[in-house]
Order: sequence, then C-alpha cells, then structure tokens
Amino acid sequence: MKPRAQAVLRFFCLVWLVLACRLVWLQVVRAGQYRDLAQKQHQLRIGVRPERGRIMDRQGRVLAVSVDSTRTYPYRSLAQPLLGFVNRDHQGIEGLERCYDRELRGEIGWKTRQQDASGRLYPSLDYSAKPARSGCDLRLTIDIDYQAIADEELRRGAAACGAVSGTAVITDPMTGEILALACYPAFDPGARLTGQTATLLNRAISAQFEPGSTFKPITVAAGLDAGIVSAADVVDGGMGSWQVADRRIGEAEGHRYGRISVADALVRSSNICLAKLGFQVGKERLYQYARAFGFGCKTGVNFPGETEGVLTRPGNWSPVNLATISFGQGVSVSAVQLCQAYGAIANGGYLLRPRLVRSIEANARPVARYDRADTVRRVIAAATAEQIVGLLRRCVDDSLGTGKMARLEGWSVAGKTGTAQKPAAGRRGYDPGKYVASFIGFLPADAPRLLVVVVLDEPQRGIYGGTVAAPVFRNIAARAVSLPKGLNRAVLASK
Amino acid sequence: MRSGGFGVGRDLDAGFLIAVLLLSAFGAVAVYSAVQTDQPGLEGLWNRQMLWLAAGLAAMAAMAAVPFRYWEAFAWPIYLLSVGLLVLVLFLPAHMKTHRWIDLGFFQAQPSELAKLATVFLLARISSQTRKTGSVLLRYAVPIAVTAAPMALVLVEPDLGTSLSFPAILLAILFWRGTPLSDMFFILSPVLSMVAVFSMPSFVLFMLLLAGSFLLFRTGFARALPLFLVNIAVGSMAPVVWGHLKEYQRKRIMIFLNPGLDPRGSGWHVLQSKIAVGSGGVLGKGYLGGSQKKLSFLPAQHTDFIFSTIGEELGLWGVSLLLALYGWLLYRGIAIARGARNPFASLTAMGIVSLIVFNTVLNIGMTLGVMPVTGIPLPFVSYGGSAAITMLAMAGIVLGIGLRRYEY
Repeated sequence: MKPRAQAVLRFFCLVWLVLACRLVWLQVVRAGQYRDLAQKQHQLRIGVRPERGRIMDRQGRVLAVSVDSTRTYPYRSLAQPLLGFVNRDHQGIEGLERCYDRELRGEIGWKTRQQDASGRLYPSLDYSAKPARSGCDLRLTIDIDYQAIADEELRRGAAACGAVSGTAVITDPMTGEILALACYPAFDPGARLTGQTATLLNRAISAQFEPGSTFKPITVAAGLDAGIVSAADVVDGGMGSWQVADRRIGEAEGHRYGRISVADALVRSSNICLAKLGFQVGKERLYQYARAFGFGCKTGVNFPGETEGVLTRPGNWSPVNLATISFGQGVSVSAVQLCQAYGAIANGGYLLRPRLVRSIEANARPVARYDRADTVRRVIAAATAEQIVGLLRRCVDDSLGTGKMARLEGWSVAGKTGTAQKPAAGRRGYDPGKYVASFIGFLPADAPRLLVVVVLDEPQRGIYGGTVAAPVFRNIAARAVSLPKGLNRAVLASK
Repeated sequence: MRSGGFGVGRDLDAGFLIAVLLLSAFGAVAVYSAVQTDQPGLEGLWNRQMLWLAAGLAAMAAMAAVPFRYWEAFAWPIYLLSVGLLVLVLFLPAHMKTHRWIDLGFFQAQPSELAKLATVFLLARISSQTRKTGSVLLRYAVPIAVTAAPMALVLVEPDLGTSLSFPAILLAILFWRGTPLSDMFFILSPVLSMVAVFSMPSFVLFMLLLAGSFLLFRTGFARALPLFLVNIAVGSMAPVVWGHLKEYQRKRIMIFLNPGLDPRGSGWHVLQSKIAVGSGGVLGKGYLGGSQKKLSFLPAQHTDFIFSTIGEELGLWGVSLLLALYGWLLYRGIAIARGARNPFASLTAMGIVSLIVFNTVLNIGMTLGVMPVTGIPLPFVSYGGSAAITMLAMAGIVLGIGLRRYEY
C-alpha cells in the first residue's frame, strides 16, 4: 500500500504545481494586462462640458449666459446681430460668439465613473478627474442703455420714412469704442431656418453704401491739410451746372450757387464746388487722404464678415470719377468705417480702431484688457481737424446748413448730412429714385464724446439725409445725453 | 490489537478535521464577500449558507459516528436507491432546462451527490472482496458497469461535469486496490483510442503501442484479443457517432473542451474569471474590494466561480493559502486511507478523498481557464446547500474511518 500512497501524493503534487504555475502566470506575469482589461471594463471616462462664458455690456449687465446647457440672451432683440449665436454643441457660429469662441468656450474636462456589467454608472471618489475650465467672460464696449436708444429710434425713424433697411451706430470718438450698434430690420434668428439671411447681416459692419455728401468733409480736409486751399478761398459754383467731360454735374434740390467760399461750399453741400476742389487737390492726394481716413480698408474691428468698402485706385479714375468721388459718389463705406473717419475729425486727427470688446475676464478678473484707444495713424493735423469741426458745426447751426434738423437744445452739435444715389444692381450707373439718406455727427462739438451715425436705405417719404436721417440722429442724441449717467459716464469710462 | 474502546480524542485525525473546518470557515468568509455586489438581494444568502454549514457540520458528526461496517453492509441498497433517484429525477419537471434537482420544498436535492457516494461504497465493497481472487470479469467488468450506470444517468440530465466524477472514483479505487499499471492502461485504452482516432497516424501509432504493451506485460492471448478488438471497435465507431451527432451537440462538446470557442457564453465566463483573478495580482484588491465581483462582471461569483472572487480580493497569497489547505486535506486523507486496516474502509476513504480533490481541481482549473467549464462547485467553499452538506457528510465518513482505523 505504501508505494501507491506515495504515487497518489506525487500525482497530486504535480497537479498542484500546474495550478500554482497557472496562478503565477495569471496573477504575476500577466497581472498588469488583466488589470488594464478590468479597468477598461468598469471605468468609464465621461467628458464634462465647460460652462460657456458670459457676454456682458460695459456695465456688467449680462447679454448672453449659459444656463443648464442652454444659451440665453436676456436682451435678445437689442444686441443679437452683434452677439450672434451658438449651435447645439455650444459652438459660436455667428457674431461675437464665433469671433471670441476660443475665449468663451473654456476647456473640456472629464470625470471617471464606475460601470457595472449591465451598464449602470456609479460615482467613484478615488478615480482621477479633470474639472472643466469655464470659459472667460466677455465685457463689451456696448452699453445696453445706448443700444436700446439706438434700436428704438432707428426703428421709429425707419418706419416713419418707409426705409427698407438701416443702421445706427454710436461710438466714443476719443477711444474708438462702439457704444451701440443697431440694425433695421431687427435681427430674426428664425430667418436662419427659412433662408432669409438678409436679416442675419450686421449691416453696420458688413453692409456698404455710397456715402454721398458725408464724404465731402474728407475732400475739404484733404485740401486744407495739404495747404492747397484755405477755408476762405472762393470757388465758382457755376450757378448749379458744370460740365466735366461728357457729364453735367448739378446740385441737389436744384440749388444754384455762385462764387462762394470753400467753407460755405461744405456747409451748403455744393456738389460742383466740391468737385472743383477735388480737381485742385488732385486724384492721387485725394486718394491718399481718403485711404488715410480708412476708406477702402477694413477697420480691424474684431467681427466676422466686415466689409472694406470700395475705393478704387486713382490710376483708374477718369475726370468724372474724380469729380463724383469728391462729393462721395463712386466710393462706398460701412457705417462703422464712416464712424472711424469722423472720429478722426472729432478727436483732433487720429484714426482709431473701432472696438467692441473692453476686456476678457475670468472669475470677474480681467485676463486681457482692451480699454485703451488703439491709434492706427494720425490722418490730419489738429488744426485742420479743428477747422473741419467748425465747418460741421455750421452745417447744423447755419440757417443755410443742411443739417438744421440735427440741432439739439443746449448742446453744440457738429455733423453732416448725406443723400446718395444708389448704384443700380447689375448695371453701370445709378438707380433713379433710390437713395441712401444719412447723417453723421458728434457732440459736444468742442470736446466730442458721442459720435452717432444714422443710415437709412431707400426711404420712401423724403429722401434727404437732412430731413430723414438728421431727426433720428437728434432723437438718439437727445435721449443719450439725458441718460442718468449718460455723457458723464462716457467721459469717466474713457479715463 | 487495539480495538473499539479507545477515546475519540486520541484516534481522531485532528489534521483532517482542522483542514475541513478551516476550509469551511474560509468558505463562509468568501461567500460573505461574494454576495456583496451591486445587485441587491444576494446579501441574505450568507445567512442561509451559515444554516447549511451548521447542518453540514451536524451531518459530518453524524456520519463520523456511523461505523463503516454499516456502509459496507448497505452498499447495494444505497446504490440501488441512488440509481432509482437518478431515474426518478429524469421524469420530474425540468429546472433551468435540466433534470438535476428534486424539489423538496425547502431544499433542492441533487440525487447525483448521493450517487457519487453510493458508487464509492459499492466500488469499495466489490473491490475489497475481489482483491486477491476472482476472475477478470469480476475484477474489472463489474466495477466498470457499476460506475457506468449512474454516470450515464447523470450524463442525460444533462450534467457533463458531474458525470466525470464517476470514472474518477473508479480509477482512484482501482489504483488504490493495487491494480497493476498495465491493467489500468488497458482499462483506459478504449478512451485513449477514441481520442486518437481523430487523426489516422495517431490511431495507428496507438494501436502499435497497445500491441507492444501486450508483449511487454506478457498479456495472454485470451485477454489481449478481446481488448484489442474493443479498441478497434471504439476507435472506428467514434467518428461515426461524431458524424451522426447534431451540429449543436458537436458544438456543445467542442465548447466544453475549449470554452474560448464561445466567447459570448462559457468563454465569456472564463474570460471574466481570468480577468478577476489576474487583476487581483499578488496582494489582491482587498477583502470586499473586488471590483469585477462587485460590478457583476464575474458570473456565479458566489457559487461556481467563488475561487475567482477569492483570487481577485486576496490575490496570489490568498489562493495559495487555500491551495495549501486543500493540499493538507489531501495529505491527511491519504494518511487515513493508508492507516485504515479494513480494506473497505481504506478504499472508501481513498474514493471520497479523490472525489473531493477531483472536484477541487476541476473547479479551480475551470476558473483559471485550463479545464472545461463544468459547473462543479468548489468543495467546502462555494455557496450551496446540497454541495455543502454532501461534502461535509463525506468528510464525516472519512473522519469515522480514521476513528476506527484499527478495526478489521
């Protein structure tokens, strides 16, 4: 019996050895791989969406905020063309939401959850996680009070004259900050679905128009600044008619001016005098000044879809071109570009880059500030600017000035009307009966703080900037200066 | 000669008893953890297991008290009763598509458990009586038939895993009886030729080997010829039977032999078991801290795959401790079998010990992916009333033999 017992023991020792080897193989040699397999089975990494940053107006009032992964816009109707919107994945796809998407969206994080065999999830404390980093907040230069005024008055004015569309922009000429930016007709987010993309356009930045008479101060400024003419020099108005090559140039409303000073030519908005002035300045120099004032270039405001307007090379200008460009036909600009150019006149000659964003903030602390004026270049001498401002005041104050309706009790207003023919669609020349009426001005004229432009496209009742756009300017300015902290606050904010 | 009158304290094999008690305690601790999962409702099973354990320990004590002569005397009635129950269970309503259990209302009894024990008793009785004398027929054909009957009945339940216990008992008892190794080889030869026939060269080689062994062991022509014919017959029948099996039957056998062929079924269980054991590493994830167990990735984590739960939570050192306990149990069991002077008692002890160890190796081998998935529980450790009580009762019989080792 003894050897059999030994044999049985030896046999089972062998079996035990096999099991032990297998255990060492599984639990020592391959342990790491099985640990990974186990982890892959029951650990689940879940992405955590960061909270998108808010967009605030300059006083910190919230214009866009994410609540429970829905983006809401408390002032939807007011600033929407500017703010844009986000898609389902919370990605900015239009407007400032798109432009500053990188700053607003934050950084995606992740957390780890335990998962059982039937897919149920359990929170686990001891697994690693990376919290999502919330997006930065965007503080705009826009003031929602100004924005509300601009929106309301533009809508009212456009409705009154039956304009097809229009825009109104308020800026601070000393800093280049855009305080309000209104578009008409109102932005309709639903239009994106129906394909009527026209209302999605931010007209103030993306749409261009021929400025007409509002360009005239540029021509005069070029003449004065280059020392070619002085304000008192006399120009022959040709009694309302002047032939340039094959083209007869006339005056608006059938005015007939004789020999008048350069100053009076601008105040009364004489086409013929300005055309003659343009010839005196010369096309190269006029082009250089126009270019310096920002015509034909993007302003550099950080917003998608900005237009650069149209300012052709002077080499291609015929005498007729030179003549018409001198009074603002044959060039085109956006409202924001025009604000930039007039800002240079108002602030003593500096072209400033228009700005929409004041600062980018994380946890109420600025991580980037853009609150200082961004000077592009000096355009004209301070003395020239002062002269032009004086002339623009007369445009409003003079009994013969075209901008009489922009007068505002108790304030010195400088400004210029514009009534431009609209280029015909698809052919050369202009569309009879279609006009763009505009008014651009600033106040107080001696120390300008508010610059307002109003542009109305194809007004039906009245066509002139002086009668259609100037009252809108006046209404906006009147309400803006009477805001509790209106103009004073703007003064403070720039310091 | 020493006989009956010795006190229990001196003749009790303390080593075997301690091994059984420690394994049961290990099982209680392991089941307590294994029922703590994210699936609610299992926690109450531990209390029931404690109840089974108590019942099992009582059964162990009771069995130890019964003199082995009764087992010898009643070997045939017990065997016939168990075979009768195995037949009966086939006519009872199926439970989970198999006919394995008799529902006693409070308890699900498995007649196959009793059949294993009954087969041990009867084989021990037959073998002890025909040890020196008797024809070849008595020595081999009767034990084979006694084994084959319950095995076949269990096979059709179907319970492939449990049916394998019966030949294991037979081989253990034949070997312990002192059967010549040549005869052991000849008994096994039809099974080997059944396997070898699936490749022609290996079958020819095996037949040559068989013929060579006849010469080597000087087997008489009268014994060699029928054996050779049986081998040829089995060898040639096997492919025919295989060919006549239904596709799903063949698939089931292939999957039984290699679970990896069925990665969504038993292969999935084996993979999950290997992941649990492997991820436990050397030190384990800590008691009650097995994530694969807790998150229900591990199947049957408190019954058939409780070894994987232990491997995951206690690591290599924990399962080594468990293997050492089983090794100690085996060592003491062989010592009892060796020490018993009565041949029936010695063969019974060996048969029971082999059965326990065979189940242990089959279960652990399954959880480690080196043996087929059989659904055999881990002795003394797995949750389950039927298994716990049967195993402890069998241990009691071995202890009883140890107590009476000097009796002839």
